[in-house]
Amino acid sequence: MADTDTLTDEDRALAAEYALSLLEPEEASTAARRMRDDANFAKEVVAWQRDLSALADALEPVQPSAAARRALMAQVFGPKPANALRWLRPPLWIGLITAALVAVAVFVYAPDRMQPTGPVYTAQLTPEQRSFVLTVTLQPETGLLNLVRSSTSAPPAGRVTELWAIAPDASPVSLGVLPLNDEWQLTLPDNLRAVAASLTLALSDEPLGGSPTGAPTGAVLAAAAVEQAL
Amino acid sequence: MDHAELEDLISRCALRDRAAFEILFDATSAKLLAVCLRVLSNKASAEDAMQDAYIKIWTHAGRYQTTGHSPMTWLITIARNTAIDRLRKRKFASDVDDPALALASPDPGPEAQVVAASSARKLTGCMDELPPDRAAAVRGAYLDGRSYAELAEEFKQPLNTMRTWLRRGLIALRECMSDG
Repeated sequence: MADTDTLTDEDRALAAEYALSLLEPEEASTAARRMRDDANFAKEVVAWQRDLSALADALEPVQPSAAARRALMAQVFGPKPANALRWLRPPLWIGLITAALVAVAVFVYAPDRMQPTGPVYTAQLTPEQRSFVLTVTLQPETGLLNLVRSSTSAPPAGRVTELWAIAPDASPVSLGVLPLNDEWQLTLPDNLRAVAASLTLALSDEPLGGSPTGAPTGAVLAAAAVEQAL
Repeated sequence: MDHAELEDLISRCALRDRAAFEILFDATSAKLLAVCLRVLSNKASAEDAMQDAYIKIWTHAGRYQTTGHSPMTWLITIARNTAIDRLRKRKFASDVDDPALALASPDPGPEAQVVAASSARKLTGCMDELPPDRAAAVRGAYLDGRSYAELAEEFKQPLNTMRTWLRRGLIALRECMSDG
């Protein structure tokens, strides 16, 4: 488990109060800053959140209304296109029969339908000489990568951190210089998609603008093979 | 839906997979609404808070892996904190100031996940070992979103006394949870 032995009882109580939202706004922002700077304190807050969430087990589930679901989906994905041609729609009974057929088809094929997009892979990179952790989520089928870094602290002056994808027995391919973002998305080059599940991801230290040669020129700061998430 | 399926759905949300988000919503929203409803005591406000929580979940799904949480804990913590912010009409400068979304553990590790499952079971036992009024205060703070001022009124204690004895209760709870 997390080594939080260095924390005093006061620290632990403070972490609990923070997790319980009992702190006044000023104390809470101090605790939030401490969470970023002090990994042991952060782990203690997480442990409290985890333990306390068991209290929610006792709550009886409450089904949300269809309207709330619709409103949420519209907010996240944008509203459905307006039905200007509504009068061109087939009569209701055709709709009902179609719906019944679809329901049967969904029932028959549901197990496949629930897994339409293939496996998800992840890798975590902890570069030496940089104070962040980069977590990469990758979906080989679509070639989409989601990247999250734990802090946006800048690299040493005049240097950047560059991300590489390395297929087995192949040279590293640059996926670009890391932006100073918390989170961003990338698409894998087409020729790497087929081998996405066996990629190693690496970070190297490079001059401003990234490697001038197309291959890593500075120190390799971290490397990790992607692993299937589950 | 089990832990692995939920994690898979959250990973897919990080990759902007709409179908995964809808499945995740259908599998978890009744629990998250229950959490919001307990805090806000009004279905319309609770549904609004629940929607805000799912927007955060969609937006920050990529952060899930770095928090060291099990999927249900992560979802419940976001829902609870969102509902409490609404109760107190508080807005964070940015979502990631929300403790539920803070990046905590760079390496949760599989052992941390195992501990998570057992400690959830342990909590009930440890709560029972607390003096009943302290356990009630912890529940009131977590489930109902009570502030120290509200707890002090409820338990007829001066504010500072309330804080001192609840903190003592929390330390006792932590000691009990760490035993064995």
